[in-house]
Amino acid sequence: MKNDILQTRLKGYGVALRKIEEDDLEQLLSWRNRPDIRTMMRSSEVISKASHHRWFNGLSLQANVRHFSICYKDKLIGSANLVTESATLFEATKVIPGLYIGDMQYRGNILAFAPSLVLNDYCFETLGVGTMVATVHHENAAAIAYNTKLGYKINSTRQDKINPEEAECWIDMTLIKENYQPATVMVKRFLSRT
Amino acid sequence: VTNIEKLTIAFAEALNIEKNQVQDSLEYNTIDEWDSTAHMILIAELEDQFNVMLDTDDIIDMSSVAKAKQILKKYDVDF
Repeated sequence: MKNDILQTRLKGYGVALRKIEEDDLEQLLSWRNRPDIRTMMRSSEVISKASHHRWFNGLSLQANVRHFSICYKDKLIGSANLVTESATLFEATKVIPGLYIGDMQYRGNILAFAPSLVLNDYCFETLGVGTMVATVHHENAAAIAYNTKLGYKINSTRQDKINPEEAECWIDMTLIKENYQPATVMVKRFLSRT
Repeated sequence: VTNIEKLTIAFAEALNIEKNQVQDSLEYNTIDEWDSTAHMILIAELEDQFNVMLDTDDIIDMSSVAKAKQILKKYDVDF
């Protein structure tokens, strides 16, 4: 069955991406609301605990979204997600990944590439996705550099006739398998050792 | 060439910095030159200089010059 490929646990490059559990919520909310993280998100407002729990309770109902907790050595270090505009992820030709590393020890560390490598491999190799699209705040130099190292190319500044000023703050970066593979040879080699 | 000199050369060349900047207190991501790309070049340089192959956990943990010395000691490199 095609749904079987929508795994809730992915592993590789030293990290595990697993389904978000209720015990993760307090830590994830604390990270999500931290100014350095939320101000670089499309929805940058502070989220309440009640709202966060409502979001968690609705997760299993969304076939076009997958949220993961990122764990390194069984310790929660961040969160990742995959979203598609298609009805379901297994039908997707284009996927929008999201990611943050909350644990300060690993922000900017080479380990921060691991969850993206796991997600990109899964999307390109298992789901057969053609393009990954990252929407990045134009002032988020770290994310632009990070995506570039994964093989992303800057596509364009977003256009929005309804809210042009807000749209100009965001850059679309796209990644195809042919650019991803050569860009990540070295980092994969370093993160694949025992 | 001593091991400390080899280590200094590896850091200086991989990060493209002056040798006198290679101090125990120098930490990953605290200077522009030591970013994730330079980190990978550094690992390759250290492995080449000391003829070792580092585990992934050690590559991730190598967060300073002092930590690099500590990790390399596990691979029988003495300073």
